[in-house]
Amino acid sequence: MKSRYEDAKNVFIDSIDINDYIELEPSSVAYKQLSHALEKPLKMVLLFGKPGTGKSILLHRLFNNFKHQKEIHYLETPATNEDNFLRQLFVPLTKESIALDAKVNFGGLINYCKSIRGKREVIFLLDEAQMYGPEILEKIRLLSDTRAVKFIIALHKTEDEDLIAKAHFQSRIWEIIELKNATREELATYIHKKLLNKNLFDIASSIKAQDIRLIHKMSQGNYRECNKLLFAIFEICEYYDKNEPLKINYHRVPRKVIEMAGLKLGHLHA
Amino acid sequence: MHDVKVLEKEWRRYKMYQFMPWIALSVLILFLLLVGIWASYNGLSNEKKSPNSHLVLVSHDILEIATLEEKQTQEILPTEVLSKAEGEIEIKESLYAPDTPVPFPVEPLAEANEDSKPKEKITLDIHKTSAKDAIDDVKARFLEQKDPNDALFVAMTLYEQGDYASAHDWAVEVNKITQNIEDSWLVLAKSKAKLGRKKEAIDLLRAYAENSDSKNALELADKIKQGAY
Repeated sequence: MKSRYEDAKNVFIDSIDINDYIELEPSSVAYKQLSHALEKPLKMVLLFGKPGTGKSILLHRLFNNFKHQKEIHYLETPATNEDNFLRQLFVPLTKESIALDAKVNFGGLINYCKSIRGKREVIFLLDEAQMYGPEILEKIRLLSDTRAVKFIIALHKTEDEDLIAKAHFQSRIWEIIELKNATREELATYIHKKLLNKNLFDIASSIKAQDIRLIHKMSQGNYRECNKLLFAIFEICEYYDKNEPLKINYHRVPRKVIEMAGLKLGHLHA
Repeated sequence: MHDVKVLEKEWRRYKMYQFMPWIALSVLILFLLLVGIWASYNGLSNEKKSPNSHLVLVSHDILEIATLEEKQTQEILPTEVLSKAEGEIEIKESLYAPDTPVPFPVEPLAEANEDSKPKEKITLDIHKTSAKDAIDDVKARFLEQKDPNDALFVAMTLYEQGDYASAHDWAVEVNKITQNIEDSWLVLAKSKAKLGRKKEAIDLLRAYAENSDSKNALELADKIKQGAY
């Protein structure tokens, strides 16, 4: 027999699925800023924040919403080297294929970009940009200087990475958008909306304000950590529901279960 | 989900560590509370026995009372100094009242102090049923724990048995520890009287009575003066 917690557990599988996107005020503001930035003749937009603050899903949503209106390309996984990176840019820019053994001539690519300036505007969304090395970052800078290519760069907020970004792009960055961890209220909305979107009303109402406080404390408002925590919570609930139903309270997620999930994920220590 | 049992164990350990400081704090508070109750009870019972914790009188004549270490046959002169064990009592010469016959009620010592000294009452009960072995046990316990009630028990028992010199010395031992047990002063004075040191006994009782308002002490002094001991 299927447990009621199985669906709830699957709601919080950490994935970038645009259908699961939950509109919260900070992310909504960030999205509007990004949309607005796409309309401006800006060369570069920096989107940064700690891991799990929603950068990837925001880029994904932007890509989905504008892919039929603009020449927009989402590079989800950073290229491992400079050649691969240039190949990733070459095809969308030139709309031509490239042989596997061929190598992109960067100077030629710059000249091509200059040639299309004012005629086309190609947008690249670069996720996990902190993984790019200095040489690739320099290429990005030079390409953005052609004003034919616009980059929206998402990277983790750490001091070093922030410095890298500033050093390379200080004069080119026109817009900086920071995503922060959720407040307790935002996290409560996020969790409840996620469950309500899947019609899990009973389970949504079984998570009380005190539970949210504890979840927020353990996850520190980080959406990814929150997803992992909720997944673990409902996984434990599912086990009890199937094997020891007397230990589960259907009207309220037991605090013990939340703490067990916290222990499992290392948020609490015995 | 195969690790739920492991997680449960881990959770129990987590809760135990979480509550450990509170348990430790509760135990500490309970301990301090018990110590406080014990201390206040002791302080209160001592206060009841004597409102004056320090008896100091100006005098040019000071009596000295022999301690256990002193020879029991030592002859005490009226001008000698009272040992500190007996509460550093100095007695004014004017305290040497003229011999005036005062009628006194005759009552057992235990009964006279029954109301104000519940602890002494307990020791008296023991005294009635104790054998020589019991006294030895109490003596040994006293040497170990220095409880003045034990010494008082020994003093009163020895006095009852007619060993006045030893009773005197044990009463002195009580007074070394505390000067607030009236029975100890009474046994000491009675022992002195039995040993022929009546004036010394009367002076001691009057000095004590002046500072503690003890009617028992005054009554005993009068009895000794009249030759009852």
